[in-house]
Amino acid sequence: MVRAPETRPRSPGQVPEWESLRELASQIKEHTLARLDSYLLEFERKAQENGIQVHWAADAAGHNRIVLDILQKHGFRKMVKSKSMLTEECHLNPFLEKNGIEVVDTDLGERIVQLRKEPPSHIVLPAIHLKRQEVGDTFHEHLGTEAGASDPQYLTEAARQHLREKFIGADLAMTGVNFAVAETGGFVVCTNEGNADMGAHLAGVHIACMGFEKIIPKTEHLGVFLRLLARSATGQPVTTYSSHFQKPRPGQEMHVIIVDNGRSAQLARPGFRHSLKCIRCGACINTCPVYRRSGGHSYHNAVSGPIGIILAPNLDMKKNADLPFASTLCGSCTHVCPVKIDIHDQIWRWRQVVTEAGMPGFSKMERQDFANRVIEPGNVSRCGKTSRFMLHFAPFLLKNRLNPWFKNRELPAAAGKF
Amino acid sequence: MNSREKMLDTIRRNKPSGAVALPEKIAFGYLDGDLARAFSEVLRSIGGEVIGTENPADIELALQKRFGHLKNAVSLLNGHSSLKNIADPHELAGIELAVLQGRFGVAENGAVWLTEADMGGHRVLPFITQHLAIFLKKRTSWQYARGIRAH
Repeated sequence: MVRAPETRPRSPGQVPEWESLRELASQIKEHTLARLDSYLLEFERKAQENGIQVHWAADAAGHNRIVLDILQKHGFRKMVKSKSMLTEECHLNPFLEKNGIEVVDTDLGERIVQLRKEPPSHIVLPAIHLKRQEVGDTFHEHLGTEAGASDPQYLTEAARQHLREKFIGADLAMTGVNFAVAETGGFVVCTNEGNADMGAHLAGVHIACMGFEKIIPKTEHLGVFLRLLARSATGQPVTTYSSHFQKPRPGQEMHVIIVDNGRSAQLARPGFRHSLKCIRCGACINTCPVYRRSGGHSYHNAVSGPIGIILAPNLDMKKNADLPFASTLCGSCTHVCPVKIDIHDQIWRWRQVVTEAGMPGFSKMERQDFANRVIEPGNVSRCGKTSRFMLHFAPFLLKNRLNPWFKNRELPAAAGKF
Repeated sequence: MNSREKMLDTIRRNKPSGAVALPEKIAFGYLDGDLARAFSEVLRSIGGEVIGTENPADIELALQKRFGHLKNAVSLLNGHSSLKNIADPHELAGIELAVLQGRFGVAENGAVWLTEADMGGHRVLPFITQHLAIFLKKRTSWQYARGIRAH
């Protein structure tokens, strides 16, 4: 079971105007969607006036190409990257590595999964699926820590020393963008580790990439979003660092890449365009009962959980046709979303779209047949008796490597009665 | 058509037609009571150390006591900087303590606002240092707030 923080219950108590903030955030984002082009142009103009180079990438390949071109122009080989789900979405790392670039993910959780050659399982807590012993094993293999060590302080210190070397030796630093402000051409990057800052303030070139929906109209709107973001993500009042970037330091190059990669297609869908309000906080992921049981990797998408379900089919409907069905439609996601996305309604709507498109591939007759078998009382009773019996007397029959559910998960204990 | 034109064109075609007004007023009532105390409580709860003092002279003493053993310390208080002529931010890698002056603190979340000028123009300074001490004025009395890096 994945233990991500249940963040919603605490926030309204600590911030009395929580519901007002959610409403404001939702309004600001909805207003912005209707005027995206003009806000993006305003942002570009202001950013350029401040000496930032602005690029536009229609898709993942375009984004990756821009990054590589900048690296190659300078003859750079080593870069550091702070957390950016967009770069995951674009599969940037494998592309750069194929082209001889060393990319080090500097968020501690991301570095752990990078060393393990796994994708992140949560947009805010990438290594939440791991136990500390597993982290210890990974660090022993790659960082030379003691075998069997699992003390978080010891392991974190080892990672810190390792990453410090990487920051100091990097030619180029890449960051994501939490919020881009049209009014000023500036942008904000929030981290708990200061890894975005260590990278950007040491390297001679800083690239910040953003999905175009990250734009907000004014600086004062940050006062709404920054009060919502961290509380929704982890329950903490604010991230340790909220860094406001305006212009490159003297002698430095600063670039912003504005990325589409399917977002404009989502913008066209009236029933789904509000998914673009997302600020990537992870509150929906934290609260989802299905996510808790199945974990982030089962969504086979860079962004997992409820928000992943409503974004992914737009990117590749065939591959992601199963996702809208990975939900109980309990609606908890909608209730915790700081920007009031109607997530579970969109999940339900995707089911209609996906089914009408003839996916996920079962005919109506096949589905009816399956449903009949599943609810037939005799079948239910027989399955129940058999699994409880096996769990109790021959657990090895279920708890083995041939059972895909058992990989990285534990099975429940059998109930007392058979 | 290049990517920029293509993207802007698609966005113009696909964006929702109805207009939602921007909220006019974004302001809430302020927290009542002892803000400095609220600030200190939140900061302590997330792992920072706070020392309050009424007398500015005590601060020098407190710094000596807590950090006197550190070799490479820089202070940017009162417009003085022991850091001049640093062309390359990598030169700051050996700093063990940085003492900076914050513009203001936020009671709701224990945050402190620092500008580039407060860092002496060295953006990497508060991040690359091992220990960070920040001065915050609490109206008429000095409040010395300190964040300790995770070790």
